[in-house]
Amino acid sequence: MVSITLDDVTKEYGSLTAVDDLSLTIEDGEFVSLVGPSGCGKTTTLRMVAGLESVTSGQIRYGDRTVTTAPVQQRGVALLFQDIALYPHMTVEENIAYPLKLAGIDGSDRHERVVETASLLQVEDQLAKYPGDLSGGQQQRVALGRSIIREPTLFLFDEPMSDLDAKLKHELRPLFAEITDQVGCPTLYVTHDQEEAMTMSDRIAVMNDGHLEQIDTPDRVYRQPDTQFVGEFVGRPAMEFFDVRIEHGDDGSELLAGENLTLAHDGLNGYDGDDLRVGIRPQHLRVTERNSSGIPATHVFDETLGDRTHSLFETPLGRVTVETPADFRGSQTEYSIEIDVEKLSLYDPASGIRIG
Amino acid sequence: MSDADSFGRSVRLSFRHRNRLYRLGLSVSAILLVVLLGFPLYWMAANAVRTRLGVQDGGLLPTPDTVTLEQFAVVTDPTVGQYLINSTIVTVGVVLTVLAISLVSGYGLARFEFPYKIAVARFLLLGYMFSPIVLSIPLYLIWDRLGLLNSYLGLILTLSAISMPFSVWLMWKYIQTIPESVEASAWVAGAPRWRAFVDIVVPQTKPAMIANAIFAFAIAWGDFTFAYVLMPSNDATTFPAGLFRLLGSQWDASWAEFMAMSLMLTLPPLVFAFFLQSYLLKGFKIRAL
Repeated sequence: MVSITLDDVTKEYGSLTAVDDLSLTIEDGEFVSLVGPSGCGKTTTLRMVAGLESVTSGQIRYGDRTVTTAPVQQRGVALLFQDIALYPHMTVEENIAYPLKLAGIDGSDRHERVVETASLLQVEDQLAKYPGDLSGGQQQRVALGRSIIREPTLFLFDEPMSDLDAKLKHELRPLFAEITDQVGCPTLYVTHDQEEAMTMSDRIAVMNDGHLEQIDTPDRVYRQPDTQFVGEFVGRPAMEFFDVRIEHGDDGSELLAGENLTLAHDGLNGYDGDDLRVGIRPQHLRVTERNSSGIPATHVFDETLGDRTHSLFETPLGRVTVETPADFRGSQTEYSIEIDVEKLSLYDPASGIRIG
Repeated sequence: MSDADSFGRSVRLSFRHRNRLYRLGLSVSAILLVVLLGFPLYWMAANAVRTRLGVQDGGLLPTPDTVTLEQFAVVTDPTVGQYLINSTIVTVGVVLTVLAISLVSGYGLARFEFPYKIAVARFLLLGYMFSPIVLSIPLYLIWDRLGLLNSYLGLILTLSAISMPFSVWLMWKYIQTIPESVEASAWVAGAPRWRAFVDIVVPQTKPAMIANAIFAFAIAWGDFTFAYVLMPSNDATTFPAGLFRLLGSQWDASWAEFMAMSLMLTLPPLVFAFFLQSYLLKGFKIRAL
């Protein structure tokens, strides 16, 4: 059992930099999700860790062992692919047993371990079938069984649930968490689904455009996004952003002022007169009767979700989504929106980096 | 016929009539095709089971007193037997060679990037521009130098080369439809590249292998020109060229015997294609083509 370390790993395809100077450590037994939009380099990172992709510069270590140039066959990892990648011409039993067959383990021992693994995943009565005869969930279980049967040093997931329906995802999430916990090795889980990352991970690494934006616990990534991108990407509905300037009120207090917006704030003396971007989650916005203090808003549309409502408003600052109570129905009339100043995140508008 | 097609037409047939007309046209063309293609086969088969006298009398159906299987005894003739053995060896050799080479090169084309890959693959198809007789004369000279005339190896190489462009293209496109992740999951499990190729890729190419085998079989079994030119010795001749040779060597051609031999020449490909046709179609049904 080891920890996995990436040191300044860079991957270039010609002039295109897919992964830029990425450093990351996955502790032993830790479940880290790599999340980001498509094309951000997360799958490339995973493939480099697995050894399916070469590394342009930097180092990858499993414990003390440097594996940067080691071929995939020598790394002993388990990898679950997006398209499941079961062998269609082999039965479920042969599929699960294939890694053992490669390792040169005898037929009877093999069968014993296959049955053991299959019963762990509740597919023991499917052993004689072919993958094509199984349901999507069963195929995932078989693929999972095939990858854990060899006691991997590292568990990798490459968006394994992106082709599945929502119900199946909910069914498989606890299974994945349970199995990775039992196997006990470090896990790197790549997904574009922030909800998946939030629910399963010990830590989340958010990637954008080849860069690592933030790596932290789900809770901190949600509450204190390091960059504007993280704020936008994690949490639904997405964080809302407004451009403001720092000004001083008549009484000397600090104000964040934008068009039709003035917020009291302090502790930003260093940024006098600067432009700033504030971010706030729709959960921390409040809709009130039209008054003079809030942002004037015209109701546009309600998304009824049963336990809550996501309401869209037209404001002088652009369209804003607010989380409203379950029984809120806007009926396209006038409202005001009030901001919970305590929950604001402040970002430098140029770099998108958090400053307070 | 969609509604949009018939919209605005001045003469319109009811759907029922159109449907009948279509079925009638289909039946007529099917019958025509069967007669055109089938009659020579029938004539060959009908004459193969007649006595010499029966052949001379002609007639569409053999009469009970002229029906006989004695013509097939020609197989026991040592010359004809040798032709059959030669044909079998060459055909089996060609099928195996084509399978091996198409798998390896199809895999290479599908999985590796190298300069001028597409150009090289297209160049392969140039071989089909030349008729066998154009190719066989220079080949005769080359094979003569190399001592490959009258050898199984020489003819197997030639006929494999003729089947290869098609087989390699088919295999290339077929392997492209096998997701790379299936192979990669074997690598992750510890399989070297060749092992994953043998264990994971090759079994999945079964339809393409069968299509290639049928194609190579048809080329090798039915080849006349190359066999005639490159196997000048009577002992080395294959069946089709041998048949022709026998016909030329006899003053009085015994047609019934030739028909029996021709029938025997025709049957194996027929049986071969009949039982494997579903695979043949699967081989051509490639999503990515």
